[in-house]
Amino acid sequence: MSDNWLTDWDNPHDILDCDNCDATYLHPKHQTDMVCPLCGETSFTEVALNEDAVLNIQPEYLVSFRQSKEALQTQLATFRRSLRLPPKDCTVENLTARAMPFYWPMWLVDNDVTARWQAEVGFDYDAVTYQEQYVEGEWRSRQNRERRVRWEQRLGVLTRHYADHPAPALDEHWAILRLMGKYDLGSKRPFNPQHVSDQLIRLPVRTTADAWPDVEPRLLKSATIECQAAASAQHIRHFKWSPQFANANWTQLLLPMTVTYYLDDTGKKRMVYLQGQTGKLVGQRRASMQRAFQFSRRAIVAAGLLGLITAVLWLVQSFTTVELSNVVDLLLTPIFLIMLVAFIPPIGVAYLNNSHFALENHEIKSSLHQSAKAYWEEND
Amino acid sequence: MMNTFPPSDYMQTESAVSGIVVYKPKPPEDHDAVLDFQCPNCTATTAYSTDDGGLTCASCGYHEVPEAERVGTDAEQFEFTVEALAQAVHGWGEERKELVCNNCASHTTLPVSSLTHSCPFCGSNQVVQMKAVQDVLRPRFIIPFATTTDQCRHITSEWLGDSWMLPNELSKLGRSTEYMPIYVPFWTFDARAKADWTAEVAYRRKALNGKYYTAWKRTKGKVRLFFDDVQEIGCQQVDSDLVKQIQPYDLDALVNYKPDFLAGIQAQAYDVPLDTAWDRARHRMRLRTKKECKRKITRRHRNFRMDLDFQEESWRYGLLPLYIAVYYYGKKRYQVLINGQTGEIAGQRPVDMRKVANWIGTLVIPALLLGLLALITVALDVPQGVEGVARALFSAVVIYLVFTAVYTFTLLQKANKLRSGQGVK
Repeated sequence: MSDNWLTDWDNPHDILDCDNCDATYLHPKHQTDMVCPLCGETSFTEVALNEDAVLNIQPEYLVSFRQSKEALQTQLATFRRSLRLPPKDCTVENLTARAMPFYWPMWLVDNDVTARWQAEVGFDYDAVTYQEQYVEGEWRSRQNRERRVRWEQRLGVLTRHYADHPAPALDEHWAILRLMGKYDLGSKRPFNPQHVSDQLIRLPVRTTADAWPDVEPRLLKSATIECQAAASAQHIRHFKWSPQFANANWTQLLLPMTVTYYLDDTGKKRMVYLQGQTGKLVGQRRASMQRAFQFSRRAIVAAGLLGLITAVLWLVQSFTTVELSNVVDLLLTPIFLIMLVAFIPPIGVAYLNNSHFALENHEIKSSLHQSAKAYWEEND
Repeated sequence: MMNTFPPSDYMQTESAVSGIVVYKPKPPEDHDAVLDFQCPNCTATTAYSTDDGGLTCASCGYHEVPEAERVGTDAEQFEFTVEALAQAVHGWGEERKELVCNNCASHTTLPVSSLTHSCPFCGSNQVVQMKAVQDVLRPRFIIPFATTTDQCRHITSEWLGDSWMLPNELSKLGRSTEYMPIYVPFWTFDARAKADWTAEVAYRRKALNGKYYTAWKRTKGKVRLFFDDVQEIGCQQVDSDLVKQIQPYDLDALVNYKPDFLAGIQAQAYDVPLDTAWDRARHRMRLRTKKECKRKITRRHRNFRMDLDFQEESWRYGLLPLYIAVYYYGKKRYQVLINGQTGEIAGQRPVDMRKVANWIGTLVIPALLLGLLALITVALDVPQGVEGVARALFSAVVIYLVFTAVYTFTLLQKANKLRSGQGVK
């Protein structure tokens, strides 16, 4: 790579800003049918390359896609089935054809840390305790062992280099991780532009200064674990340190994701995401109200026809001596049932769409509001 | 974070991670292996005097009261770790310890259980600071002497004269007996006992036919006890039966161990290991718990069963003050122990069997004579009224003799206990 990774590609790339959500992408120019993976917008504005330091920080590693095309199709078919009455546009073929792999960024930071630290470290030890039994005039003793922890004060000096500590490069970083699940960062490999020359790449939004508060707790955690190991202790608590950081080196890690979409009844794009490593699918589920009404209409027409026949039979019976009351009674029941069934699909779709909407809203909101600390506590 | 780094009471320790330096609190300072007690004024040897409770120089009269923090029953206690139990069994490791006198450079060997030593060549007093395999197994606490040798003489004199069975001249021996102060090791144990018992308890029931029968009903209960500072002596050389008689020691007087208290006084390290002492203490605890459980069953019962769980077990190791005195009566040697704190005394005492025999004779002979007289009277041809009196007298003499026999038996038992020192005054 040369000095600027944004421009140094075998095939021409441009930097595009989504007109709807302002997300910035590094886009291979030959791809013409691009949609914004975040909002589904197709309108973009080309951004002139400036000296933006954040964008210039080049990727160091990437995590490769692991999903095969067949697996992708299977996942999408399962998703479609889960919609019950999917919109017409939501076909496996459409979803597969529109599937667009892309990478999203995460910061990696290397740091030299010098710190004084103090903590209470715990050492496991076995204590002996006794149980006695008095049965039939005899004593029986049993010795038990109990694992206990002895806490001792330790302090020291830490001079360590911490490499590749992850930090969010996007505002929605925690939301994505929460919804899509964790990536196995152990499988990352060095970034090679040739491997991603045809892929869309989302560019960082957060500056390194913004991301730093998310790095520090992780470094604290690493230091805590290492100080525990250094003291050869099994436990540690009340860890305090006064760190000084130096030689910070920021790079990017690119994470794989596939996005596709379908159009709902109103023609609105509904985005579906697949985690590029595990294949976990997260998408907006919208059943088709049009299809539900269509079903209802057909049922009502069928009920109407049956009703007409019943009315004719009733008239024939009224003006002749032919006994048709049993047939009339017999026809009234299915008419009633069909009329009832006719209302089920629209009610069901309305209920499903509303509940999915509420669920998605809740998930997204709670993910967006989830702090980094909470995320790591849940996932560590 | 602190300003001076690392603080002076911390030391560097091994780190398992490169780039991380680890400091840990310094362990309590190791004392010199052997401490010599010399007068700061005249460099003569000083010794702890149980009479004035301080280090005293016999040469210039220098006197210094050792200052030690009184910890009482709040003295630190330790858990029964596997490590401590295993290492306490190994004791002090060596058979004998070779000492080089700091004063005259003479070499002497010392049994490993001795914590103190007086050089036989120059008389200097030395306290051996044994390096225990675990710091907790060094004596940590001590009860200083609170009874003087004069008090011991007085106590012994009284004790040797408090029974008519003892020889008359015995009480004089108390004044002339030499009293050797010695610190003996002791263990104390705490534990919470959680006992659940079951038993079949007898109930009297009336059957339909009107007869009574015993119905056995299964009953259960719980007993919770806390044993605080159960004391066990840690030294085999001292007669444990005698020690039990002079116990308990008041642990409120416990102070932190200071070698000054040992200067010129014999002191023993434990030779009853922790686990043995704990077994003994635990046995006492479980008997007491069983008794407590049975106390709750007010009726006749059978098939008593108890499950006892010990919790929060802890122990402590220290030194107790004791006077040992030996006196000779006739050709026999008798040992006396005096609690160096409370002055409680126990020991063996000679019994003047002539006195006992005279007393029994005084009781029996008149009765025998009366009995004989009654027999003769009955045998002779005497008026009926007199014969009746004689028969009644004879019966009374027989009853009297039976009581005298029982009394004699009790008396002999008491005499035997006095001789063997089983705590009868």
